[in-house]
Amino acid sequence: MNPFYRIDNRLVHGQIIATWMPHLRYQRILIASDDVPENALQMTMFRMAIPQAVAFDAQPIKAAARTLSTRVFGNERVLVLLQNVEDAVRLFNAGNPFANLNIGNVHHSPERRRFTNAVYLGEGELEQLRVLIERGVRVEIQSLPTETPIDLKQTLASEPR
Amino acid sequence: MLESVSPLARDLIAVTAIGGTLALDRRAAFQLMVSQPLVVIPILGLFLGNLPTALWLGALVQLLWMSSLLVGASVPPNETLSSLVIGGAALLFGRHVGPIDLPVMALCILLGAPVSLLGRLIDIQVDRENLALAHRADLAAAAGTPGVISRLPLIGLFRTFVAEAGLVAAGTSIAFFVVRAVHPALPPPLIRALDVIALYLVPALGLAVAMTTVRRRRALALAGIAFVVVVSGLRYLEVQ
Amino acid sequence: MIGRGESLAVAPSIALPRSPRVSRFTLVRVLWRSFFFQAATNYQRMQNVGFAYSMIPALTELYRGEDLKRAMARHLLFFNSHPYMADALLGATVRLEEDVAAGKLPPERVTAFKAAMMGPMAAIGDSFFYASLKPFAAALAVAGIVSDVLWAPIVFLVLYNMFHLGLRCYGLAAGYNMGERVFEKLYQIDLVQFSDRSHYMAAICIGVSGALMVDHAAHLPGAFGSGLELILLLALTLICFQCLKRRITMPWLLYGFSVLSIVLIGVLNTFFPLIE
Repeated sequence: MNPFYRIDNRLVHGQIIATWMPHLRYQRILIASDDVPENALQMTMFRMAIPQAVAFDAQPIKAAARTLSTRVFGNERVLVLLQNVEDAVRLFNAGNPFANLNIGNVHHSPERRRFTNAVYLGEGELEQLRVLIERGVRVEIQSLPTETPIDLKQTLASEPR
Repeated sequence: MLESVSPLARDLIAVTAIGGTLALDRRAAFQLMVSQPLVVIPILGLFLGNLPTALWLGALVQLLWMSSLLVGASVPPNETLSSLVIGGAALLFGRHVGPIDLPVMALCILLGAPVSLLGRLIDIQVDRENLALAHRADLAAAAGTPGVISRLPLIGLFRTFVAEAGLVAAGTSIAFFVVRAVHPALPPPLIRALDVIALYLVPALGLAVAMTTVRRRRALALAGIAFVVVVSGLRYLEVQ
Repeated sequence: MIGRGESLAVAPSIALPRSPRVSRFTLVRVLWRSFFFQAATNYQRMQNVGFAYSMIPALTELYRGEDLKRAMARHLLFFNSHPYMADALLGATVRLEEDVAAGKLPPERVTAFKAAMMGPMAAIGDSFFYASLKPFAAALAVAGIVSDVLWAPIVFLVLYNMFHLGLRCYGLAAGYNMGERVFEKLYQIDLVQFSDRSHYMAAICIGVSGALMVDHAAHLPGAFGSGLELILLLALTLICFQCLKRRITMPWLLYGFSVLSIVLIGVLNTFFPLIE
């Protein structure tokens, strides 16, 4: 699974640096988001939080899709962070059809329902994720590497619709 | 009033009160790390009069849960509650039944370890109950009454204390009574097996867990070198 | 302008209103309250009540009436960061709120600042304190205990809290003095660099602890003798380490190997009855 695609509302935070990085030994973190590259404060903070040995970049979604679909990373382990489901779908449709998607943290809001303590998804988001699943993406809910991943396809299949 | 209570019950109440208070440090308040196994079990040991054993037990239990991380929204097993039950049961045994030998330690660890998982369930439940506090905070903000918000963390602390102290009391007494009932009836081969568990398996597993917290591969080589140097150093001193 | 403090006198001769300042005592109260940052953690908005609770001494000094209601409400939005790093954020937020109260900044700026900072701050705090300093200090204390140092837990607490309490107090002061630019100060401390080094020191402590545990086992009555302790402990450690890396969790290994050793010793004893 390289690059590893993850949806996380808080993007770079403790779970990424203290658990996923040592677990999968990432060498590069790429944030695909239209807002983050323009937010100088956030960019500085992220660079500070990520160890110097790890490369860090943030690109708008279209540019990120181009980078990810054309560049050969070889053995370099890459973590792609996305802020929400919508951005993930946009990245997928912008010419970067990834095969795996990890959902790490999606905060609660009134229209979303609970999947785990850290992941809440609304009907609109589930509809978008169903489309991704139908197109062959393996969508898993998993906050920490020590947790057992939940396959969203199976969870949705077991629900009465 | 306390004089009418049996010494055993009095010690159990002490474990519950001290343990419940120290457990608040883990997440609800301060985070001074007095809730770490390495600290809670020796503190119980001071009160129940067996510091050396408590220290050793604290070190073993600390190693077992070394990799437990409280990061983000995930709720890991509660190592503090496990430590309190393991330490509490062993030290109560030492004070009211007989010496805390290796089989007693092994039994207490085996009985107390699952408490961390029950503790996790309690933590999740407390997080849910606290939702009502968030709603009350919203109402207080809308009504312009900051005093109400200032009381909410106290309610949260109280809830956590009641739930966790309850688990400590129940867990410690069950573990203690099981060990007291089982210990004299242990057949010799089982005693030998429990010796091996306390003396080799638990330390080895603890060291392995601690090694997983080391992030650099090169650093692990350093652990190996330190091990070899100290082992051969001690051998050399012995020969001398 | 929204959120101007009514109660605070502004010298009429100054064209641009000077920001009202909270008192030093108020900052101390914010610091004290930050120790209860996670007392009302809930699973939907995480530490939001803790954040608002910690801000209240400053908010009640800066705002009255409707402004106070709005200020409390905007600090009850989702918040999740590291409790120790929260103090730097609280300090900076108090400074920003002073400017909001003076009408120099829109309140949305405060909300955006918190949202941008909480993730990276949590990353720094989690990787420095929980993933680096705590294992190192604990490994050091474990090595101390197995070499019969009675006060090893006190060393653990002092070493850890030197950094913990230091960063909390310093963070609040630096945050208040620098406002949004607090990250520059944190950048200079470079906690991330220290994190790396502490792993080497922790590894040494683990190695030493292992060696002393072998020594302890070899000197108990009924020890196997002839170096068997060393081989047994080393082999078990390496097997457990490989299993943990393959995501078999600690409780499974604990019970699995316990059952195994009970069965093994029981079976061996029926064929070669050595234990009476």
